[in-house]
Amino acid sequence: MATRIVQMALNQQQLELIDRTVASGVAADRAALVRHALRRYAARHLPPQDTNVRPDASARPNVAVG
Amino acid sequence: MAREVLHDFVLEPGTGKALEVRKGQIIRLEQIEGGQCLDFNCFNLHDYKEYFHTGRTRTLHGLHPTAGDFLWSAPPRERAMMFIAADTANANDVMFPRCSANLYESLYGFCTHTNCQDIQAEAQREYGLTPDDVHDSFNLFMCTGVDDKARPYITRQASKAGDYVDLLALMDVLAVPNICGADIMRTSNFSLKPARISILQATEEDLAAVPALPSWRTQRTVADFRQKQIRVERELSRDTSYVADFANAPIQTSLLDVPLDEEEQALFDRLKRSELYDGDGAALRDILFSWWEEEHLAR
Repeated sequence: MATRIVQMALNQQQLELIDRTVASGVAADRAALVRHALRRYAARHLPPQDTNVRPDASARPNVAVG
Repeated sequence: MAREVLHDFVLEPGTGKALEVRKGQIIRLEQIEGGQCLDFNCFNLHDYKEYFHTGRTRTLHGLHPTAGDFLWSAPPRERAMMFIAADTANANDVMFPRCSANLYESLYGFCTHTNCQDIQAEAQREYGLTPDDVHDSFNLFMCTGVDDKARPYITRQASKAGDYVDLLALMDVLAVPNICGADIMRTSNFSLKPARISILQATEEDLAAVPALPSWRTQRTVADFRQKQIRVERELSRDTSYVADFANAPIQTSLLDVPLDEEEQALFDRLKRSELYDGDGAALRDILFSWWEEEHLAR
């Protein structure tokens, strides 16, 4: 199955919240944040056997610590 | 360290009293016989337009606020006005409106009957307030609940002589307790009884027990208002110079493309609320903000 594009309509207030959340380091950009939210929400709300989701490595920005 | 008693009296059935309670003082509302509901209004003593709000308090503390909770003022102020420092009966309510003359006429046929709206209005008149300034009360010693059909109910109460609620003022307030006028309802077990009211100076220990609260820019004061003057005339008339200035209006929408891989598509297809949304975009937006709420607003 190919990548599917979902187009979300967001107003400026919703985008502000998204951008602040991205800036907090949760995800690299807006789209990555949405995917991160999808995976985390699924892990919390789908039955256990369906939550064997691989880590979303792309969602988190590469923040060097040291 | 003992609290200094600043004022102490018996509040008689059918009456209420407006009392100045300064920041750092406590008003104690105490059962004498037990089983008596008291209604309670409070105002910012220096700006009566800031007053206690059941809705804000209910949202933050639930239907039955008790020790450790706060009494909050209405939007746009939304400040903690008082702190519930003690509550020995644990039976308070912020769901029911104050009882009123009309309630007793429409349901019971009384031309005149004690009721919290009118008792509050009469007590508040001492400070120049009008019946329209009475607001829904913090109902102390009032047992309420919600039945399985989502209807609120009042039932009998079990408060005993000596039970009390201590409200610590976090700002100077006009505090107005009254003996609830309901003697033909379960609220006060079908009778009207006096209550003891005391104003006490809070101790350092009392003050130290109040949890620290953050301040927010959105806890607005008159200085933030575009319209600062309170109307005097009752007749409303249009301001011909008015120009609308709503925050963040116009609301503008833009589109965000979100590529989902196969695994994400499978998750999305199982999670999306197709019964609510026709399009995938709205369904994914729901998931995004539902996740955000759970992540940041969990209680």
